[in-house]
Amino acid sequence: MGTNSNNNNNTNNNRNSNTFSRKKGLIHGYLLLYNLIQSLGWTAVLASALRAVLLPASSNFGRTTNWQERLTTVYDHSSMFVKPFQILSLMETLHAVFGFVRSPVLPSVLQWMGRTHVLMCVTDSVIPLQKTTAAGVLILCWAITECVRYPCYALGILNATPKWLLYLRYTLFIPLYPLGAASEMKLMYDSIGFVKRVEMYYVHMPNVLNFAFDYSWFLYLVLVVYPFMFAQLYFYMFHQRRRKLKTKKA
Amino acid sequence: MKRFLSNVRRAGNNESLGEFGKMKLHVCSSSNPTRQLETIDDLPEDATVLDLKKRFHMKKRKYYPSRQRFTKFINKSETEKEEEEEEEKKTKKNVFKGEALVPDGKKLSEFGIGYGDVVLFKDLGPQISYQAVFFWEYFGPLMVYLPFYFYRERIYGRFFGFSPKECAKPFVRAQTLALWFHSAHYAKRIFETFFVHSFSRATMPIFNLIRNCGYYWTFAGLMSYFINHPRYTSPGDRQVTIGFVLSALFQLGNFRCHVIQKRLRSSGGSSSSSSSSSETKYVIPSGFLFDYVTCANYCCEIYQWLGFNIATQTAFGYLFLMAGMSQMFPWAVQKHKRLKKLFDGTNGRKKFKRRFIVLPPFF
Repeated sequence: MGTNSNNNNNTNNNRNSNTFSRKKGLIHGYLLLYNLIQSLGWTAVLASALRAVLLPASSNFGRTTNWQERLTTVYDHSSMFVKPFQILSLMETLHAVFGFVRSPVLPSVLQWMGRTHVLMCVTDSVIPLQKTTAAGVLILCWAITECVRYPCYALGILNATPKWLLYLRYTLFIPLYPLGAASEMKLMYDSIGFVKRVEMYYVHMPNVLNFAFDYSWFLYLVLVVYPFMFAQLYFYMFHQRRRKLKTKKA
Repeated sequence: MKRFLSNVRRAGNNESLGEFGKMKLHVCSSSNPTRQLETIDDLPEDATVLDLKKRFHMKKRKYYPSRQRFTKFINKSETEKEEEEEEEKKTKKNVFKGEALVPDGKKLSEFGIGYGDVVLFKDLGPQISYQAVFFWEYFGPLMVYLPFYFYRERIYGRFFGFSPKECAKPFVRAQTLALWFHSAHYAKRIFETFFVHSFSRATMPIFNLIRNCGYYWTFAGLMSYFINHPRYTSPGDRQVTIGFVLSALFQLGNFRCHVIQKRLRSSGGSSSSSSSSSETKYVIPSGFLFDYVTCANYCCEIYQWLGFNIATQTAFGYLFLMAGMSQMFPWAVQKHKRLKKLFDGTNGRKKFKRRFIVLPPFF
């Protein structure tokens, strides 16, 4: 999905023992480092994506191209940055599991799986999809939201989040979230023909575990469920927006 | 004289004194206490929660008693309210909501509710009886399993596209036995629903019916699809026998556990929503496996499905087992904690012996 809606980095601090505050300091330091690394990584993604879109001359032998064509080159430029940092974001689920951050585990893991599935299983495996505008839009949406989200978290640990950054975080999602979700669905839908033809990720019977998997059916199922999950998360983000932006103004 | 004075004390500034022996309550919405829904003023002084619910139902026909949920209202002064609004934002709990008025048989006065007090009402949504839910969530799997066995050619041949020759293959021993075991298990569960289980709560929200049925029916269908598949690979004969023997033993064990638990309830065990007692009388289950495992019924259930999966060996069968375990474990831990806390050896109560929670010899 487009944006991660977890309310991270609010560890509680009402105990006084020295070992506890040292451990808390360590955790905060580690989280700060993690969020910094992710911020840098996603900045690289955004930079490469913007380069593909705004400076096409460098990659298209000087030909002038329209926006759609430029978007199709985005994945080629950005994939080397998106893949490691998106996979790395699994750490956020682990942070929730270990209690470093106060956010629930299940939504975190579902969001990571959703995004990584679209990135690795759908787009990365089906090469023709990498040259589509949907892929370009997807990378850009993700990059913009993550470039705001991770600095927000990092500064949140230092309790130095500027109001304008918070405002961006809880406002940019309004157009970007649906755009991102729509591109994810389009990519999944377009991949189905290819998946069926080459029987990608299929598992056939007979086998010792008596199990079979039809990836095209799985994609259909995900496509049916997606709008509902998206709606739920989208409204949750609005609810968060009202909460966060209201308290800041008050 | 005392009663007259207590009525004076309780009556608010705007309340006129009512008759002796009568209770008057204002019912407000639990999500917005400033919104008053009804005033009920013909309750006897020793009215129970159920009486309140019945009166409320007479005024608002849509909300039958099992759909009503009342909680006590906590009236705070203004300064306290502001402090608690901050608290509320952090913990997201409504600070004016007091304790829930359960069970139905308890008197309102026992909660400290008096003349002119406010109670908060919440609509629990359309309700359905436990028995109805249990029946449909167990009847479905029983039925859903059968077509994959009896209409093999039609399902695997015509719908899924396997060759008719393949579909005409005779069934392996494991597949036929699995049919019997699966059907017997759910038939036993339906029998227990009507003749063994006694439910502490009468109803649950109707959404649970859809959710539970979805879970059980989907897994039954998936397991059945793979077990009765033309390309099913059966494990060895000995493995099949051992698996089903284990499964049978633990099914019987599970049934015995349920009978023991039922006897606990009928001899004055746990709370019942229609009982007049206001105490929750828990009794430590004893006998059979309960001396060694707190939730012996879950233990037998898990091992029974393990036996079934050893015999049939399907990925989805094991997945079903994992899903069941992931639900039963938290329940078992809760029950174990509850009993341990209640039976701490003080005040003449028995001390809860150390025992396995749900899965000997592991946990």
